[in-house]
Amino acid sequence: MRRRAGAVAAGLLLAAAAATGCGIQGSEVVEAGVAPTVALAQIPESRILLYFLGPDGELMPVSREVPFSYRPAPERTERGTFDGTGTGFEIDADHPYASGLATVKVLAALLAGPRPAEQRAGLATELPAAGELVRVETDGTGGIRLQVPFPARELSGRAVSQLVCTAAYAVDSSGTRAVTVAGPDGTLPEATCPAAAPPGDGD
Amino acid sequence: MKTCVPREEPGRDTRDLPGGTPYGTGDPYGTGTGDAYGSGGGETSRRGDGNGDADGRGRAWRSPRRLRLRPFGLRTRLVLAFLLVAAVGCGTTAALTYRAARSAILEQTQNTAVSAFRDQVDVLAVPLPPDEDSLRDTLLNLAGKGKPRPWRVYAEYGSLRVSSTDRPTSSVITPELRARAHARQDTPHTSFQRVVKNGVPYLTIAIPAVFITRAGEEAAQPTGLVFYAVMELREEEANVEAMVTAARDGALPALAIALVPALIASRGVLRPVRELRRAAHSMGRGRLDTRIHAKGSDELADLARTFNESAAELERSVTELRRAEARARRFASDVSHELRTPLAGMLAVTEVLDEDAEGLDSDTARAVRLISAETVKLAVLVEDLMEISRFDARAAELHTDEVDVADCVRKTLISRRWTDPGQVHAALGEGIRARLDPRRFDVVVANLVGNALRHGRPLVTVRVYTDGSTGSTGSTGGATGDEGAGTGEAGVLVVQVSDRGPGIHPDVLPHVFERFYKADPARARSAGSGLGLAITQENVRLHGGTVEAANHPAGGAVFTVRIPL
Repeated sequence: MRRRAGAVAAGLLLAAAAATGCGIQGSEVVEAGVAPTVALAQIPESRILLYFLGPDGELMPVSREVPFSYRPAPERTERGTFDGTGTGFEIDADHPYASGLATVKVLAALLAGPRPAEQRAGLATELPAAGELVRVETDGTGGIRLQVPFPARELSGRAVSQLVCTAAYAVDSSGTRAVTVAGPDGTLPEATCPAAAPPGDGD
Repeated sequence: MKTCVPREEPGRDTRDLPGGTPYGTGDPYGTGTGDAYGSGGGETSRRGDGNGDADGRGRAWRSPRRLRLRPFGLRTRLVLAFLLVAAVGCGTTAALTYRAARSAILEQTQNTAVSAFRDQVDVLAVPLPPDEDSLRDTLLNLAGKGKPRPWRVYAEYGSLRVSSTDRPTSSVITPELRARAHARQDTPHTSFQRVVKNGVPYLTIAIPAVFITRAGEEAAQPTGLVFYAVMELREEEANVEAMVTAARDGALPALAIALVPALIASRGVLRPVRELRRAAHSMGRGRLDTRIHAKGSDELADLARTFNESAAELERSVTELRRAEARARRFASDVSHELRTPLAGMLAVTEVLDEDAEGLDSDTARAVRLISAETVKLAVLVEDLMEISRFDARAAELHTDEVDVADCVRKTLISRRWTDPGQVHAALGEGIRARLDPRRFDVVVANLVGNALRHGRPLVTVRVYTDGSTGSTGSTGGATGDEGAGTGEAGVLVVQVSDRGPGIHPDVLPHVFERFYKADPARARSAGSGLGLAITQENVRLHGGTVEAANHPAGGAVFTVRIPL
């Protein structure tokens, strides 16, 4: 009886000592509040977002400043006012002060690939270089349709994500528009940008 | 048949005593039985002082030995238990306090550091991808603003690694922290981790920077840029160590202080226990009136009361027993006394009848002789009984005298007419002098020789010698060493009587000195009274000696008397 009580007491002491430990122990990773925001540019309207791929193949946004205020505006299907420069360069009657820099230009910058500074930071693209522009159309329900000049079915999933995200954020700063990519060889299923999907699945 | 001692003596002891109370003086049981016998059982509340002194001396001599510190005695156990309880209490309190204090210290540091770092990152403006040089400037700026202590700051973007130190990245930052910072599910979170590396504790904080895609909305998106801060927690560790030291320095004096109540409590428990032991010891030595002072109402007091009740009951029983025993003894003594006078007359008459038997017809003559012989036997038996009752009453006294042992033995043999060398051989060491009671020594020798002649077969050998080594039991040594008589005073006187008979059956051997013990139950009558060897033993004991019965390997019984010189 006494022996057992002694053992229990000793066990308690040991347990207490073990639970306490001495000094400072390492810990698990602990989450502490939401992440802080950083400003990408002095004037938020004067930057465009391009999506390239990081060293591990993850989708990474790149902001480029443009020397004028740029505000993404939805394309319109009906060809209203033409300024004679062709598709993608229409003047938007609803946003007369928008720069007129169209989604197609943003996509052209994406297709041109990362700049040397961006390449030094480990950014890359999986989209093929193309001399032609991407044609951008909107349907009535807010979806965007991209007509690419290269075979769409041969694109990797990450390349499609690059196109989808860049186009979605170029049209709408919420980046939630559905995008359909179509090539000469066919049309891919409609997709949304994974980075914008509020609590969506990861990249 | 006891034909040994001069029978004129035995009456003396008894006659000297006051008629009714032959046990009054030498009462071995203190006044208890004496009172019981003499004054009809007065209250036996107080002991004789002499007895008490003897007890006291015994205890005083024994006590120091008994009070030695036992390794697992009650005191040790009580003190250990107390200390254990105190240690558990101190330890648990110290451990819990320490835990709480440590986490408070760490939490404060962590919260301060994390919120400071987040606030500092929150106001940054960085292009994507960041420019390496300007980012380094930013980090160097941040590094100086560490709270609560300076930290090292690192930034990672793609394959870009920038830091505020010489090395682009820190080995302290664990992969888990990095994975958490890059995780895309859910909204990105600030996270931190404590890491111990090479014995140094660090706090590592990871902050994935996000940017707002649309002004005024909470649509944050990770930039892929992650800031890390690494801060040493040496100062916190020192604080925690100081707490450990403080807890230890507090616990040890607490334990030392706990020793005092432990000792006091063990004293409180041990005192009644010690008293109880002393009382039990005293009871064991015959002081049945021992009582314990029982006060209080705890278990020990109950025990003491129970002890007192048991002791009282025991005392009552023992007194009763002693009274009964004394009555029985006195009865035997009285009976033999009463038988003596008529027997004396009968002896005188049968003597006359014996002489006249010649003139009677043969049947009557045989009857007369039978009556005469039986009367003599009865007389012997009564004498022996009286002798034994005197021993029982401790009324037998020793009247010692410096005598020559060989002379004594020779006288005994001659007086019994055991002079036939074919019957009895005496090998007597000459010149041995001892202080003996000649009458009792005569009884001893006569009884042993008579017994040997009666139950054994000749030749009966009587040896007398001194033995230097008191422990020796060399009863078979023969007469060779006997002649070294007078070798020294510090030995024992050995009287050995052996015969050439069949010896004593091993079953009987332990009982030969018992009263009325019959070796053969079928033989209801023997020649002797059945008390001879018992009387022998009592006489030897009175001399402080021993008597042993054994069988000689070569056959025959050997009785050895040893009396210290």
